[in-house]
Parts: sequence; C-alpha cells; structure tokens
Amino acid sequence: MPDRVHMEPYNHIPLPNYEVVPLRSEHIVVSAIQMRVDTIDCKNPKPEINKRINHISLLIDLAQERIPVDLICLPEFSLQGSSIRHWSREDFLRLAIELPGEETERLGEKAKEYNCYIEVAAYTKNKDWPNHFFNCSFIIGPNGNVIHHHWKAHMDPGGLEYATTVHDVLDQFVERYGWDAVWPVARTDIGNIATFICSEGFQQETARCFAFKGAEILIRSIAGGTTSGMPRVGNPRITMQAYCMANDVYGIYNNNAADSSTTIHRVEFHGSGHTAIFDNVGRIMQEADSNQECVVTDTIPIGSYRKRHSIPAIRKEIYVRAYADYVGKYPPNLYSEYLPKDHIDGVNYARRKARW
Amino acid sequence: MIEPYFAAICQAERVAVRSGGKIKENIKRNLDRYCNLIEYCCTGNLSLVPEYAIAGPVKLITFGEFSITGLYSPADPDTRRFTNKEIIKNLGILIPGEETAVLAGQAKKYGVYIAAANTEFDPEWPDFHFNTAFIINPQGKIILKYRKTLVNNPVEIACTAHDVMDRYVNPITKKLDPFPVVDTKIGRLACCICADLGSPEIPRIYAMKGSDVVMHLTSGNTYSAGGPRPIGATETLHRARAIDNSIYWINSNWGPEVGAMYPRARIAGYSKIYDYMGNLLAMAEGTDEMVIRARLDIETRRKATSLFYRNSLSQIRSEIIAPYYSKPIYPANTFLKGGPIDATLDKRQIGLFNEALDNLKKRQDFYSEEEV
Repeated sequence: MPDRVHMEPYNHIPLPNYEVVPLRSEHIVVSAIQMRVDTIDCKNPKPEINKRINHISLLIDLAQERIPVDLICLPEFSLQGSSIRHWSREDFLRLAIELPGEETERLGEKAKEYNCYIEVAAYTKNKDWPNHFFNCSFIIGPNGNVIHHHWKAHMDPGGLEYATTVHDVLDQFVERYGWDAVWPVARTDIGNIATFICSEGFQQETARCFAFKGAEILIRSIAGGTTSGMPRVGNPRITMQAYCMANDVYGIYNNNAADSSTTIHRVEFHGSGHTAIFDNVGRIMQEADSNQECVVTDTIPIGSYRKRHSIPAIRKEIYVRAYADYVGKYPPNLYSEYLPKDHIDGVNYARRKARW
Repeated sequence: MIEPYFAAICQAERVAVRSGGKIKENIKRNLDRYCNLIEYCCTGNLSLVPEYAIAGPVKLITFGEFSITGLYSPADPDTRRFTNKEIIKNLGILIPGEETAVLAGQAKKYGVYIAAANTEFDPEWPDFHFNTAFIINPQGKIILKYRKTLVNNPVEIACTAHDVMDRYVNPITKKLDPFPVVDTKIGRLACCICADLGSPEIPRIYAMKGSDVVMHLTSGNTYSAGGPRPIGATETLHRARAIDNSIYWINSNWGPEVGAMYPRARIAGYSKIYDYMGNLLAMAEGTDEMVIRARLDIETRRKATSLFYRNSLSQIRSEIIAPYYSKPIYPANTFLKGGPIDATLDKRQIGLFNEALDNLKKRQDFYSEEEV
C-alpha cells in the first residue's frame, strides 16, 4: 500500500492570498432583516424616510437583543421603497439621499451604539454626478461613517430600471476612481464584504469578480423575485446559493417582507420572503420561515474559514478571449450622452441604443 | 495549538459475518476492506485536491458500530439469533486483540486516530459481552474504551457498565468511568454508540467533561431503518446534540451489509458531521459505501465555547435538576445479581423494563387543579 502522498508545497503567497485587515473575533454574527419596503410619497420624501429609519432602528434593536450582532443587512429599497415605473427622474432626485448625509448619520448612530456594521440598499445621489441617481448598496461602519458603497451594476435598462450604473458612465467613472472601484470590496475587521443588489446577481460574473478580489461575505439585497417566476433569470435565491458554492464564500440573501401597503407595489414586489444565510458551500445556514418581517441571524466562523480560504482558481486565459469577443447588448457610457426623463423614456432610449 | 484537520467517516460496506457460515473469513474480508478505506482517506484523490491539501490532513477516521465482527444478523445457512454464549464465542473480540491490531497497523502507518465499535469479550467478565467503542492512537495504542449504555433492548443483550455498576472498572482509566473522555493531539475525544442517542445525558456529560468531539458510532438511522422514529427525527436529534452541547458531532453509520437475510440498506447510510453550532458540515447522501469528511477546528471551538452565549452548558442550573436523576429508573447491577441474559426477547429482561416503567410511575409527582 502507498504511504501518505507527500507533495511539494505551492510556491505561492501564503494564505490569505488577498488583502485583509485583522479580525475582531473568530466568529461573527450576521443578521439579515427581512423588512417591509413600503413605497414613500415621492413628493414629500423626508418625513417618510425618517419614519422608515425609525422602523429600521427598532428592528436593529430587536436583532441586537440576544447576542451581539456584528453585521446587520437590509433589503433593497430599504429607505424609500420603489416605484420605478411611476417615478420620474425629477422624483428620484428628490427622494434620493446623499452619501454621507443626515440619513446615514442617523443610521450611523445605531452602528456606533452596537459597534456593528449596517448594510443598506437605497436610492442615492452624488453632487459629483449631477442629475444621476443610483440604486446603491452601502455599508456604515461602527464609527458611524459610510465605509463602502457600490452602485447596482446591472439592471436591464431596456425594461427594468434607469438608475445609473457604472457601465452607463464607464469611461468617466474609471477616469475618476480607477478600475478598482468598479468591484469594491470592504476590508473590515469582521471580514471582507462585498455588496450587490437584486438583478446585479442575474449575472454570475458579479459574484466572481468580488471573489477574485478576496470577498469573503457576499450580501445581496433584493426586493421580490424569490418566487416570482422570472423564467429568464431563474430564482435569484438559487443563484445566490450557487455563487456561494462556486466561490467558496458566505452569502446573505436579504429580501423584503410582504408589503402591507395597498399600492401597486404590493404586486410589484411579489416574491417577498425567503431571506437566507448560506455557508461557503452553498448550504442554507438559516432562513426566514415566513414572508413577514423577521430577523434572520447566524454565526459565521470567519477566522477558521480565513485560515484556508483562497481566491477562486480558474484558468483565466481561456475565458478572457471569449469575453473580449462577446458583444454586450448595451454599449457602455449609455447615460454619458443622455439621461432619460422617466422609465418609459429610459426603456425606449436603451432599446434604440441596444446592439442586438 | 491544534491545527485544523479533517475527520473522515468510512461508511463501509460489510459482509454479514455469518454469511455462508464462514465467520473468520468474513471478518478478515471486512478488515481488509477497512484497511483499503483508511488508505483511501489518507492517500486517495481527495487528499490530492489542493483545496483539501491546504485545509489540512485527515487525522481522525471513524467506522460504525459492530465494525469488525458485525451485528447478529441472521444469514444463510444459520438463521437463528445468536445466544449470549454464541455471541461471545463467535463475535466477541479482545480489545486490544488480533483484529484491532490490523486497524492499529493502519493508524501507525498513516499517523491517524481511528475510532470503531465492536462486540467485545473481556476476560475480566467471562460470562458477558460488551458493545464497546474504542479509539486507537497513531502509536497503535487503544486509548479509550466506552461500553454502550443504552443497549438496544430487547434485541441486544450486551452488558453495560450500569448492569455491573458496583464492580465496574473502566479497563483504560481503571476507575468507575462509564463515560470516558480522552485528551489527544487532535482534541478531547469521546464516543457513544447507536441507541445511546436516546439519552441526551450522555453527550451532555461528555461536554461537561470537556470533550471537543463526540463520535456517535451507529448501525442505523431514521432514513433507512424503517424503525419507530418518524423520518427526519434522528437527524434532528443528532443536530440537537451538537447544538445543546457545543460539540462536534460525528455520526458514523454503516454502509450496506451484504449477505445477510435482511435488506442490504436496512440500517445503512446518511452518516453526518455537525459542527459545534449545529451546522451540517458533511453528509453521506445515500446508503452506499462512501467516505465523507469535514474539517474540524478545535481551537476555534474552544474559543467559541469560552463565551457564555456560545456555550449552552453555562445555562444549566444543576442543583434543581440533579434530584430528578438521583432515584433509580432502570435497575442497576442486574447482571451482577442475575448473571447474563441468554437470548434476545428474554422474559427477565422484559421484566426489568416493566420494573423501570413502575419506577417511573412511582416517581410521578403532580398536583390536581382542584387543590389550587
């Protein structure tokens, strides 16, 4: 019989083979808050956003009640809800928040109170990008500051949404911030975190790019879609599970709770619930057992995981050419030339510009 | 400092030892197979995958209950159930003995700990047989022996420490130590066996004694037993044992048994490993022969359980619980008083169960709503 096989060690950088900062503890506790994302009145957004922050604060208190939670996550549209088909650009610019701004400061107080990170997905704007609005995921750190943000990278402009993505202003974006900012990973003392929103995850490259850059925890804030029967893109929860498995990363799939309002959005966000936390091989660690408001909490043994986790090992060179030769449906810099006034204007503009 | 390592479960196929009446040959065939599986754990293709190589070597290998000489499964041509004397003569092995020496050879060769369980004949107790779990260390030494406590009555007639309690001495620790925990280079290990799952107290005691890993060596679980528990119940119990006691829980079950009169997959399959938070780390997805493995990180477990909210034992209010365990239920020392039980479904043994039921009845303590 052969003895144990003795192989030469790899001549590589010792693990972790990506940039990290020291961890605050071996285990971190994460909570996904499955909350309602009732749509606010776009004509007078401030008071309703404040009400939503009050509600979020209560839910954070609830999440922190039993065990110190290191990371709190919220679903997509957590501050404003959404009415994509009915809100004009003017409306979006009125209700979008600044990063940082008074809203993030209020949430920052909660982060300071509990020494935790809070991930939020909401509509934002930025003075450096006049007239643009973004569907943005961001993280507030325990110091109360916004430590990370990422604009939703994909939403089909020919049908779904017309918030600005990086691809829509690609040249300007890269010129200002560099390529590293296209797929940002937050290096925190609870692990390397990447955030993305809903339909960004329709493309598996999103998770892959974050994993290449050393993401250890993926947060996908989403609103609806879990059981909404989107046949073309499949069930986003299943894809999230697959991303965790394929990339050896932990995943938080944070959906909204059933909408109690009587607006059209109650229908629009069908497929609420099923918020889940997946482990690094894609198994369900914890999940919501209803589509009502609830907190889904579990522990990630991040220290132990980091001791052996590596970036994905793929044979890059054979894929690069295929991606280079592929012609994407929409050209980059779509919104560098023109900013649609509203949803239908955006849809028609994108369809005119589409390459196929 | 204990580096993370892999534990591997060999859900081995086994020939029913009574098959064809060739007990000795069948035992040898089974041991040969286990040697192959141990070799596979340590040198097989999984240990060549870089991700696994990074993650650490296999250092602990487990087999199921009745690993070596098998259950009493009737097999052609002899379809009777064995009596106590026949079990001692045909299935009882010395631990250590020539059979365990074969496994010890592999433990030394590959530098691994091996846990298994088998029917044991102990010359100290010539009239009895035990259902014994044992651990072999990388030096080939038997470092732990645990005798099954909740024998699967009334179809199992092994002696337990409780049946001879007043005279019982654990052969390794040389004291009355029915629940031994051994400190090793890969953490503090303990074993329980199959129907012991019915006693949440056993893993609890192990956790109190500082155990990191409890190996539950079994011949049967819900999925395939067709037994009295509803589907999924056994898995729930396994998971609860891990969560309640903040321990790694390794349920090492049989693969199929070939050559018995019973169905091959009667009590086979679905071995699993849970971490100390109750996460399922690995599961054998079926009843066939397979090896599953999971990475254990003992140091991280210890750090976690040093926090009160990660260690449910810290919630135990022992003073108000202890009195309920102080009175007898199933009578002790019955083998000392009455000798061994000769055959399964024995009237005397059934009498003992009825005595336990009577004791339970006597202990009942409640008041009527009328008194309030």
